[in-house]
Amino acid sequence: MNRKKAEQWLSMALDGELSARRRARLDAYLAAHPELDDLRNDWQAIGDRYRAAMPPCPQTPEAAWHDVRRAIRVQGDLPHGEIVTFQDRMKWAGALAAAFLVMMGAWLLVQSPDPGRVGTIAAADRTEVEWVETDLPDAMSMVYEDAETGLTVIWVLVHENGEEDGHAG
Amino acid sequence: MRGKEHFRCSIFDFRLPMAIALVCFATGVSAQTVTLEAMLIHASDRPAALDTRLDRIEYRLRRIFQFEHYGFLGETRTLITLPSQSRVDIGHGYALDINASSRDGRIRAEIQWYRGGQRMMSTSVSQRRGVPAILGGPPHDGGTLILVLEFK
Repeated sequence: MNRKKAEQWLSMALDGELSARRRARLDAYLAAHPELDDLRNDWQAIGDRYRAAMPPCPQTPEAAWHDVRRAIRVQGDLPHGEIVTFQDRMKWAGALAAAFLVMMGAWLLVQSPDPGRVGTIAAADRTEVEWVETDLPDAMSMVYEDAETGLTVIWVLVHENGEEDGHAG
Repeated sequence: MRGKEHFRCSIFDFRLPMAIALVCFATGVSAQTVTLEAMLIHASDRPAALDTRLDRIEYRLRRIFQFEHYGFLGETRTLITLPSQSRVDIGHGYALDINASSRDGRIRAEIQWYRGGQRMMSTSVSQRRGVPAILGGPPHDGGTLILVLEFK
């Protein structure tokens, strides 16, 4: 450890952000380099004066949360910025769930029929009519394939009192 | 003891299962069974209540025809062995003569639609299972008859 690193760790220790393991290493370094004790005392005094000058204020939820994160970071002896939270651990599960939802949505989109084509019969499945006849008097037969539904209609048109049934088609 | 051994030998001999399999195979090849569903519908412009028995077909009929109302007259389900000739009573004095056979994955049916002794319509169709054919046109009780025929 060089002096610059020792000063950096000293600052972190005064701020309460140095882990126990690094704190032990810093103490060992300070014991071997007593000239840094004066620097630590000076910084400690500056900090005390600064905190004494600050008006007391209630801790905000954000500050409390930062304290918790700091405590976790110090306790876990992890470098700054490498805190592994529950959310980090569950990121893969979230990605998996998102991918599953996307796939389900795509599958439903493919499977769901077009609202405009509900009930439509595929061309290969449609009914084929070979012939049709009627024995009803004054009637004629016709075959009609409805393009929209795909249904085949076999119809007899019966003339009643000179009028033709005009509902078909 | 000899009788028991003979019985055990007959049961577990490969010839018995093979004979059963052959009978099943021969039955399956020679005969195919389908269900013919025939629904008789009365279409007219006279007001009538909606009938839930027509739910699966009425929305299709409304796309094809311009009748205001559709009424359920009756429905029959008949088990038909292909090939065979059958007579099906569909109610209200109407009947069907059906000569059906199976060909190329389709059901070919010669259909004759009777009112009493009068033949109203004769046709020959080739249908897929589950795909209905719509027959109709004969007048009935101030409206028009529609017959939905479907093999299942």
